[in-house]
Amino acid sequence: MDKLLIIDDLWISYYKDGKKAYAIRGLNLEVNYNQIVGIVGESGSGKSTLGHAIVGLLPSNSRVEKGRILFEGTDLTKINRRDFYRFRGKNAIFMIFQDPMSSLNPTMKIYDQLREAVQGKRSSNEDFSLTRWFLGNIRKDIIIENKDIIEALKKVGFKNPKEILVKYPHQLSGGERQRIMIAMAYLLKPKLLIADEPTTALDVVTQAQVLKMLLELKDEYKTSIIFISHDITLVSQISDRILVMYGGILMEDGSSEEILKNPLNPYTKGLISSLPIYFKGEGRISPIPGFPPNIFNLPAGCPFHPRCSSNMSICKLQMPKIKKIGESHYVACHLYG
Amino acid sequence: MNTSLMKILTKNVNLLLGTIIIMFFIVMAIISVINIHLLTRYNPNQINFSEANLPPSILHIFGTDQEGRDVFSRVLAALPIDVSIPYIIVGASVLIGLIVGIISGYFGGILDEILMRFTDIFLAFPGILLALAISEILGSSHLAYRLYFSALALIIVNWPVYARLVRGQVLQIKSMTYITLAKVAGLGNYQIMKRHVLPHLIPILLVYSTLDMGTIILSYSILAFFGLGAPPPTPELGRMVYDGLSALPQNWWSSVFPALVITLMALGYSLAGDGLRDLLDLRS
Amino acid sequence: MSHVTSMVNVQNLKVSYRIKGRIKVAVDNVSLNIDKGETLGIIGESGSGKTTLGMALLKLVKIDSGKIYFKGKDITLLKEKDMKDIRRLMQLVPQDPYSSMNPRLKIKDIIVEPLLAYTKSDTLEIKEKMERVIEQVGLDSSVAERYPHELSGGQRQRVLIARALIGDPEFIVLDEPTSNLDVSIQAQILNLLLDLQEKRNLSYLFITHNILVAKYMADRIGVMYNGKLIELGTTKNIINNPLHPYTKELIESIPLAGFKSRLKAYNVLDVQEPIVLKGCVYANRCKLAKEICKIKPPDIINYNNGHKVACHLYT
Repeated sequence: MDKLLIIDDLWISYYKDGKKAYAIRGLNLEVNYNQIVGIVGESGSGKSTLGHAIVGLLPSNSRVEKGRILFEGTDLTKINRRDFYRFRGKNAIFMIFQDPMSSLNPTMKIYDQLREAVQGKRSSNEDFSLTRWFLGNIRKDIIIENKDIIEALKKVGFKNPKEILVKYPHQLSGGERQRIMIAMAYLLKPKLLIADEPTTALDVVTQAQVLKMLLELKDEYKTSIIFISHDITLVSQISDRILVMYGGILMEDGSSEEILKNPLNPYTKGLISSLPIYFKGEGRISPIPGFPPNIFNLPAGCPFHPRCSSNMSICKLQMPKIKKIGESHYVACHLYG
Repeated sequence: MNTSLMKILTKNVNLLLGTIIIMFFIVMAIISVINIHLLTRYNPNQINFSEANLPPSILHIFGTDQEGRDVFSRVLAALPIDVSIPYIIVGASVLIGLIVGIISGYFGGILDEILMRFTDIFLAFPGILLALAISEILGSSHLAYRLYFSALALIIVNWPVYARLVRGQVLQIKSMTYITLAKVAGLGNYQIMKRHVLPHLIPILLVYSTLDMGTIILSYSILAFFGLGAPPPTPELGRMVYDGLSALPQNWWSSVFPALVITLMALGYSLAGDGLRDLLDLRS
Repeated sequence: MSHVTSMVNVQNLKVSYRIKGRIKVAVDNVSLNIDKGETLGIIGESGSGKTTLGMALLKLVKIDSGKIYFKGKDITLLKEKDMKDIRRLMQLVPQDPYSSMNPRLKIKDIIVEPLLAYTKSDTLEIKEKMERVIEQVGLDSSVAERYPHELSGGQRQRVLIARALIGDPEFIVLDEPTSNLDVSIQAQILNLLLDLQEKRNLSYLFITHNILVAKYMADRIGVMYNGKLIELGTTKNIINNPLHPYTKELIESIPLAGFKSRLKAYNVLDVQEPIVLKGCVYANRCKLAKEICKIKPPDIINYNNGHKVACHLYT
């Protein structure tokens, strides 16, 4: 088993007001060890659902209908909730979110949370703190002493870690909280880190800081990262590979260079041409017309066809299957067969 | 209009039940004022010692009290006051609270500080006790007007709650960006209040005041119990409970039935208030 | 840049407010000018004061000192009741499309609100204006009868723009108008704003933290840091030839070509220490800080043909 993570024909459903919709349809994805994979999509793409599904954080009105999520050979979809979090702690999948406030317990000091995260405590399923998700029999081979915590905090840029340890989450800024989460990742040394829009709420300078830290984490512990974002340029700059999602299906999958230089799927092309790259007055960008899809109201066939300028009659009828076009470049589009 | 009203009422059991109870008592009170003899043949104030302490029967549905008066008739005669006074109290409290709350919340500054400290003073007192004290002081010399002083006392004690409530809501609304936009649009304060603030306040006040009615009914009954209500011989539910205490335990009906009526009225408002809250919350 | 062609002219503007007993200066001695038909972009982090600046220009916050000229007229001390006619000409497209609309009102009521200050009731004229402006922002006329919660983020943003336009303003403050939108929708809105500017010769103050968006939308850019305007110049100059160390840091942090290698050269910065009270606001973060930077705050100087910077490296 060479691959760290294999997702095989994944279908995830979502219920709201008695209606059923699919957030993810037939997704296939592979993540190697020591690799950064970027997942790009807008509202309704399913990118966030994917991240949550991997760590077992799907909301109660959502479930995996079909398919497998194989983490080092073990199918995560078959493990029940209770075992999952124990399992997850042991094999170290970690997740950081756009808003770290929801991962940090507002009533606990930073020190306690970091310690709790790594030493592990058995907790019930009703815990409200997401840090407790990653507890359980965490790798007993690591003995976490205070100095490890101090080290981790220094690595993420806190010059006076002791000052930070006694603070509560609400006393820190958004950027600082995100750094704490990364410090937690340094302590957990996960094999797979899922970063769901980790820098969207941050200014561009702090964003660069966070990205730098993630790259260092990967270099030092060979952590694979799934980087989920709506920003294709950002994703392309730090990922080895990019997956483009729309309306719950995978539209294109390729290396960062390939995707930017030679985008095949009209949606990918549209995304790239929507980027404001010109100086004022020197050119107009070409936005994709129309609105992002509502998963409860998806069109038949390819979800993108209502907005696609290369729309053909088959696009309304059949969902395109993913095909290999180049060396490690895959696309799902009727234009290509 | 009628059909949607019916639809609303039928979906929401609490509201339906509560409204029925409230309407029932209002109707009874109105009939009692127009002509009490439509409902009873007895004179509520007719003392008749030969008929004293009779238990509930077909002739006297609620029995008679220690002075031979028919309890049922007395209850009916008490209704007009006991039904209407709470409306006056709550109505006035809401009005004063609304004005103070809007001025305080909307304009802020020194005015807000002063008004809020003023409000705090009243809030700090335990309601009933303050009402008792005020009523005693004001009403001691004018027995006939005692009931109005009691009502006034309850208003004094109750309006600060509304002021706080309204102020809190106004502050919340003020922080909304659409208020900023309304100012950018050139709307004056009065227009903003009419268009954005008031429509938001009304449902909340409606729910709160309905629930409050239940509490006020009980509070007023307590004051009446202590003799601070209408002067005798005018019947009043709270006072009737007191009067009947000395006849316990043999003559339980002259205290218990008035108490039950008080409880039922309060319950009606409580149910209606809950129902309204569910209804209005669900909609927005 | 005379008062005649100038739409908005600000001189030495200072705005501060009280928070937790301390006084925070949100806008510290800022001077700038926006000509008719031009877009001035303001970029900066959160807390830089850019939103407060926009609010101050619209007289929505109390001004400590300084002057604001609108179309040549000094509006700094004008009372609200005298502002009415001017308000029609200056509008706001706010950042948050969620709390910007009263959830109880229909879209049509939200859009026509700016007209209500001037005309009495629902006249036919108002209805026509509303329909016209809905069309201009690319919305379907059916949105008029809907409620805010029924609309998507992009649609709401268009509604806010429609509302800003209905009174035929000349100057609009746009506070992060596309920050919460998907990329494809952002592109639509940006182009819409450019079209409207061309058609109506509008002047914009465009506040954003996204430098690429500022590059696309603005003729000139001002960079704010902690309340101070630290650099001001044409978009080309700011992007291609940034002077202030902070501006350079911003430009370098944009994830574009060569970002990964640039990141390798990055040092994980220390988390911000509390601001030094004396001297340059950027001093404790600046790699090129000299002694004087910690003592004396730099004045803004005209470095080269309208490109201004406040930094001791250039004084």
